[in-house]
Amino acid sequence: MMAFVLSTAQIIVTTFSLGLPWAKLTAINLVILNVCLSGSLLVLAITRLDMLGSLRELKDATIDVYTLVTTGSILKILAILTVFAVIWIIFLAALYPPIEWDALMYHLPAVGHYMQQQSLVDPVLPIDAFSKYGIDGSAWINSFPKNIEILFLWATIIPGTDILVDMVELVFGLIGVIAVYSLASKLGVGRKWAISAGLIFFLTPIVLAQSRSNNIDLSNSALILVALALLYSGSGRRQPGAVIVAGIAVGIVVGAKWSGLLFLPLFLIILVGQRLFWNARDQLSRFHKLAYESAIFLGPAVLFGSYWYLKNWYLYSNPLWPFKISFLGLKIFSGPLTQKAVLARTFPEQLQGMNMLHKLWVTWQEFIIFGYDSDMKLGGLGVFWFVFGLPAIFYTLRWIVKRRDLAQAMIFIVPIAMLLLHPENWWTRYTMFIAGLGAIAFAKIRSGEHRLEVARLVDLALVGMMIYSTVASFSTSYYQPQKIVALINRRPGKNTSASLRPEIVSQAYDHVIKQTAGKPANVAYGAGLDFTYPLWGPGLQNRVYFLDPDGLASWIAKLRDKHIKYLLVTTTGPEQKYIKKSSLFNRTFFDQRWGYEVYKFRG
Amino acid sequence: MKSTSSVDKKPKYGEVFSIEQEADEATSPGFLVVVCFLFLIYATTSRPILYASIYEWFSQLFAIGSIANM
Repeated sequence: MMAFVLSTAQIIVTTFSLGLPWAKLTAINLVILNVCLSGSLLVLAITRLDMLGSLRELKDATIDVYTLVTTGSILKILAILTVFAVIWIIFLAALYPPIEWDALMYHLPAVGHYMQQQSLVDPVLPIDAFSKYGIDGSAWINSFPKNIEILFLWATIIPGTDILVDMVELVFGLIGVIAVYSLASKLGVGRKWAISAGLIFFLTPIVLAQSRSNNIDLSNSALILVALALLYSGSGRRQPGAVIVAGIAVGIVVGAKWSGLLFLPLFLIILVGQRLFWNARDQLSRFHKLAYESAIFLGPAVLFGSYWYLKNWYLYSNPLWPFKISFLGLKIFSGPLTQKAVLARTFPEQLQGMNMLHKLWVTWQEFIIFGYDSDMKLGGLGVFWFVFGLPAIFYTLRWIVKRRDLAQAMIFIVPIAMLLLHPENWWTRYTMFIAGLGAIAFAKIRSGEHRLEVARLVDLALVGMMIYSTVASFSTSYYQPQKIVALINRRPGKNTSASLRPEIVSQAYDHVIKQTAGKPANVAYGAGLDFTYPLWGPGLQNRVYFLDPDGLASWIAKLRDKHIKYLLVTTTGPEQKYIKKSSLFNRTFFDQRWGYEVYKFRG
Repeated sequence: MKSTSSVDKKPKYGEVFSIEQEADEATSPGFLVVVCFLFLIYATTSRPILYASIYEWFSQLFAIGSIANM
């Protein structure tokens, strides 16, 4: 777990060191830098640590886990379901191009821009001139904190294609299994049920759906669980190394999503609360230890989480750009959007007029409209969470409170606070970490002494629920067997986002891909588009630009300068007035449904 | 030599999982009652599109299987 967080940190640090302030972000540079760094660390580890002993321990632990899994029937079923799910996710990831709304709109376009410009400098986008063109899909590319996109970039830039990018979140899902296992073990759950808790978390429908996606929500939830597991030392002593790595994990979350800013102080409450509790119990007055732990936690958290906010503050005079920030009616930072307006745009009508607890109650009951998918709004935590996880948290917490163990109680209370304070907590993709705690609480209860028939009944219900959840998770319209067979039979280059999600992606993108197949070209796009990622084409062979249409002559000069061959614009975009005045544009495609046009530029 | 045993016996920091009073296990008969109640609510909630989607998924799978066997 610690090694994984440190590896992630290394990827982020090496990418930044090559991408800022210069433009040296190439596959070869990344490989050389990381091989040198990892090689040095390996030599250091071999000379300083007992590597052979550690490897022997790892081997013994693996054999131990394997023996446990193969001898326990519940664990065996959960393990089979997990292996099946992982294979299925890898298969789908290899077959499908990115199809999620957020991924096509801003997570992956950021990767495309960074890759082609070989730096992490903000590309020129319509949002930078929002007062002229209004807000479009590119609003989030430069404004959104992008620590996880750095990992997407890593998975894309080294192989030179985006086929591996679909598996980044799967890795985080599996790290979530280890984090849940670790936390359950530290809370006194036996190994069998601690492993079961980890697997139950992974088999949560929204976790499975997010594992295949290019969203960043699963990585955030997995890192939250990792940080919880590192901060809580169980019956042992909290180690400074674990606090530092927990700080890095939380820092990555802060630099991955705005909600991370909410989670950071709550994690600090856990750290401080646990330390004060332990000091009080042990009659220690070591406040310097508290200050030391706070410093070694906050330092890495700020280091890994602050860049994107400082960059926005410097470039756009607002760390939370593009949101307008007010406090008690006083404007602190100006921006073109308000959080209220953005939340209103995505709020499901089925939850209108409900208070927060009612919304959670309804969404956890899973009034599913379209089946399980990564962006679903009315469910996702699955039947296990509603039937077992939810009451298990209540009963486990009650038991912990009876024991007056504040350090343990904080492991549950603070994530519950995170859940309740999140402005979109009904949207399960943002609160998957709570499923991990539900699984741990259930494992805690189930691992106690029970009458045989009760235990059998609970186990039977658990197995039934997990099989149902796993099967239901993959029965979405995107992954129907006929569609999969058609995709297998089609040439890989033909499996495009527009062919798989025609309800959201215009065929104009496919036209550009068709025109540039086998002959990569520079493509420009205009203001007002929702998505830009498909323009890079399969294998990211094209180069994609937004060129500000600030005047006919200057715009044409910019198009010539960038050797633009194709142009995708909307029929209502600011580019139209210049296109109509010039004979250099030849319309090759028109999508009436979306109002998109493709022009060939003959400059 | 000055004895340091009283200091050494005391954990440096953090080693404080001693439970002052044992509480009963993290379970209760009430838990199963709540579980049954929630299961009833979940099971009686209608999800027609999800069920149709699962049915359609398996229908397609069996259709492909039968074509492959022909």
